[in-house]
Amino acid sequence: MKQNCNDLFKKAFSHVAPTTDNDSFERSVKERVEHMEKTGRHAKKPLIIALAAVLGISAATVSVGAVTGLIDFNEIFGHSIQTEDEALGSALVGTAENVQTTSSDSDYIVNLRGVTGTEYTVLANIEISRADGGRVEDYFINPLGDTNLEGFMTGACAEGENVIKARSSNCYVGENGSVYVNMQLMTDSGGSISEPQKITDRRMTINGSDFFPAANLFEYMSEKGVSYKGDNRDELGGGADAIAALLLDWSVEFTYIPSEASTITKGCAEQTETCEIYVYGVGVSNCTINSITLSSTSMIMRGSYADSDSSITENDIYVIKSDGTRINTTFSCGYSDGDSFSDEFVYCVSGLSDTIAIDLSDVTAVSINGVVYTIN
Amino acid sequence: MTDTEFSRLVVLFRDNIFRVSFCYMKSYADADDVTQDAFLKLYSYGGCFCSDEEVKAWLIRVAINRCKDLLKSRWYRLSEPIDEELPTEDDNDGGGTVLAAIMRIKPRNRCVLYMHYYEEYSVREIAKLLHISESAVTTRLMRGRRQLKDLLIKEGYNETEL
Repeated sequence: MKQNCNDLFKKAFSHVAPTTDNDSFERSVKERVEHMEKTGRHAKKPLIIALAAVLGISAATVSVGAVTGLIDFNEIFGHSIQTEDEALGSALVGTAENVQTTSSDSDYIVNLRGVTGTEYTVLANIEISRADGGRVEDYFINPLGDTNLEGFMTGACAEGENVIKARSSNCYVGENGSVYVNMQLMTDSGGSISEPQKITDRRMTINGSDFFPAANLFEYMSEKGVSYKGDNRDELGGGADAIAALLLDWSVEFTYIPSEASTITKGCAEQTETCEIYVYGVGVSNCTINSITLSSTSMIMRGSYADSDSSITENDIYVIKSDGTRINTTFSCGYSDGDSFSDEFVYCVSGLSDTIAIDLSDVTAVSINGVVYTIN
Repeated sequence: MTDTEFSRLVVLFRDNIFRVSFCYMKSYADADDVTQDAFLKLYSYGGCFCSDEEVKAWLIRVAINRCKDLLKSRWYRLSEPIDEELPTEDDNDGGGTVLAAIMRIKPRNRCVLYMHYYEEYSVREIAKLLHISESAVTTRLMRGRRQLKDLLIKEGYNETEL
């Protein structure tokens, strides 16, 4: 700005001044100090108690510095996992028991905010906050002001060393400046068509590392053509145009128990009508649907195919409700195994997270690239 | 701390701490409370400072922390703000219009602008005070200036003068 900013600010704030004179101000400060000394009140004590009360953490939990125990997802619902309505979300909420979290940096606290899902899939919401109550966002540079983050998850496994698919469906900076991660965990391990394993009552671990503002990361990689991973927290590369990162190794471990409502499924068995599906590594295939299984949080489709010529380059697969409403799904790429394939979809609604739960009672059909299959 | 020393520091820094607090709270009453909390801490503080500038930086830090605590508190979020009249264009020098525009800038940018242009802290000093990187300070200054320029143009300021 050509006009001197200093002058502007001096002028503007010349009107801003305390409303009382200094003598009475001093007097009131001293009176407060005297009162505190008389009552033996320490300034910090009520703050700590209030904070613990707000967080719902017991004194014993605070003293060991780790969050353990039962997490009630109802309390934080709507902040993390998206559903079409809150009542449905509450019904679908599962519980995570014996939660244990770790962070490579004591300045950052990892917290499992809540879980929901089915016997085979878990949606988990994780919050990473500052131990000093500050905004995590303030500790990494974000020149483009992008609140969407790219996170790196090193995998997830269930008890018994069984690796399960895990994906970070979205990472973002919340209004409070904390980083939030929505994870989806599923037991249909990539690369082979094994029967899904039940997650219920099993101990699971999610490991993750590093967050970058998505737009900054892509722009930086595109312009510089360099590796994205730096050695130092807070800044990558160095220099004024460096992008910032929160380089942090973290993990969340918990035992998951779904709610009764969330385990309800719908679907259809083998169908006679064929459809075309684009499967990664295979191309477009004329497919016979062997089964479709819908749960509140995801849809698993299995099929067998034969190569065919088609112009389809991407799939248009969605769920249809009784009133005709369409709920889009994500098709990750499909996993082929010889002449069959399988994939698990999550539901997505425009403008919302792609990890939402739906009310199955209203779902009547699934459309796969124009072919409609009735669901019971 | 002696009463004489405390009085001297109140005269020196009370207005500054009040303005910093006002930047965050956008309310005279809340800024008064925060200022009092900060000076109360100073009065009870057992440590010593090497210079007045160090005292000022310490007070600013305490005030900012208190503002953030207040803004985050459930009580504050649930409470109904009391309407306060910010100075407007009724003043002669146009300062009220500028202040009203400054108060519409995002808080994080607003505070950095104030520290830089009113308190005349350097980027490095602000970074140290706010516990953020120098790049973050520069970014906030840039965004804040841009926001202020847009707001002032809407208020009738000539773009070429800004």
